[in-house]
Amino acid sequence: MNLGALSLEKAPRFWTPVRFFITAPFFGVLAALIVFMDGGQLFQSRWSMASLAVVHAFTLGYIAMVMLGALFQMLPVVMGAALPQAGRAAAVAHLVMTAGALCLVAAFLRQEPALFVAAIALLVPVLVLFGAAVVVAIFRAGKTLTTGRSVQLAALGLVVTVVMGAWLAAGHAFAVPLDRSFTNDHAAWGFLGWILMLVIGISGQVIPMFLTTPQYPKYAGKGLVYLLVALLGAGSLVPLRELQQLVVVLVSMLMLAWATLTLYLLGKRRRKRFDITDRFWRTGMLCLVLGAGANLYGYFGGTVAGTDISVMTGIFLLYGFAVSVINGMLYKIVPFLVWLNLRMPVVMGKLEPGTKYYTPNIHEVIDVQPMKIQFAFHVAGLLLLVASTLVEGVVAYAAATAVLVSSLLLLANLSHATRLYRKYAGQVIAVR
Amino acid sequence: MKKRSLDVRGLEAPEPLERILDALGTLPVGEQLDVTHWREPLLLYPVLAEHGWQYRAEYDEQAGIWLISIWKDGH
Repeated sequence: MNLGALSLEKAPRFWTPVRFFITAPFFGVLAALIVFMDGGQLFQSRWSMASLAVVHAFTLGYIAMVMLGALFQMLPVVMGAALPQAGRAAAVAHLVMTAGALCLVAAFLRQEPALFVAAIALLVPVLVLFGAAVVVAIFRAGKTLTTGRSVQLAALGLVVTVVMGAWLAAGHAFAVPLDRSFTNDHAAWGFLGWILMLVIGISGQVIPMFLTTPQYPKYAGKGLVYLLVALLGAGSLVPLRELQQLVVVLVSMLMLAWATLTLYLLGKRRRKRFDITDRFWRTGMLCLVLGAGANLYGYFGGTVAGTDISVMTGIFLLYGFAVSVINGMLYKIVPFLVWLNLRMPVVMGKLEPGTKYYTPNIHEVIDVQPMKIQFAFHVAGLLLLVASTLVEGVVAYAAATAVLVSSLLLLANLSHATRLYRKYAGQVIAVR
Repeated sequence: MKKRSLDVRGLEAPEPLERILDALGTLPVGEQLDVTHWREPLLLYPVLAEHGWQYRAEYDEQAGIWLISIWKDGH
């Protein structure tokens, strides 16, 4: 028996995904600071540089960051698809992603060509390689589970989004005139082809597993993701205005249908006790419905209080939907990983007989009260962000404050879990 | 082979995994654990493989349940 080797062998498994998760709230903080510096001007136009900086702080630094971490964890265990050299690859990918996201945010804020070039040089290789590795790994695993297929399609969606994004960033760097409709395609692929596709795929596994809901019906998995990718392809490849209008309507209905189905399933949980992830997911689904509605309304020229509502749509879809479901899921995955990694040595009989060794109850890894408080700040942030698109002035500072506090509390709650892991993982060596 | 059965349906993750691992901890070589689960326990497989447990999983389409048999071959 070699417990030193055991703890070394186990440690990377815990940190492989967790380093990504812990980084996400820092980008929430960064986004809030940009809103402070900008003074709320960014809520008036999706095209302002501060607005683009905040969007990419969330999409790359928060959303993609967590999703990459989750995929490094999930692929081997849930889909039987191992990424080669996952531990080392994850460490490098994490560093490059963090640096690349920071470069892009800074590039938007400073309009500095060199920073755009640096962002492209960092983000394109890491994300395209990662996307390709996921596609290949799932093919190799040979499973055509709904989850596997939609994660594969999502990885393709990521690659398309990144390549389009690199083209747009090159436009900024070398002052090439940019076509704004191309930005819409980039955003559509990013949100629908990558984020939504992945959430639909993963939720089929994790929602019944962690929230004891009934399973999603089969058609809701495969049918939905194929329809989504077909609509997305048709919308961006066929330059027919009528067809594109039809695609926007159908995609909105698809989002509405899936959000409603998920809300219905959450209402059917077998265990009714309070669960913070349930609250985050309900918030997320509600925002997906509102975002789909706002997108449809805005697409056909609708305005609210005389302003175009694309910023509000973005807030509903990215902060209200994506950040909410991810935040909720982190409160399941991180305690689960702490529990699993502390439990394994005990289960597998690798300790001396009679050794007292503590493993926490999964529900005690992060206390409920601090998560509830963070949730309250998250929702306050969401409401204030939406309000900031309608009312100028001090509301933007209030929104930034709420997002800042919510991100810091998330960081504190996740750090509490990792400290617990560190403390008790260390004990394995201590009893040797 | 002597058999023990364990029903983990309706439990919230990670309780099914925890109960299965607890049961395996006291399962003598030569005995088999039959688990009834309402989803496929994908997280369990790598743990079993890594520690020398054999298993066979089948999905009962009509009942909508997974039946997983786990055992360790004697030396």
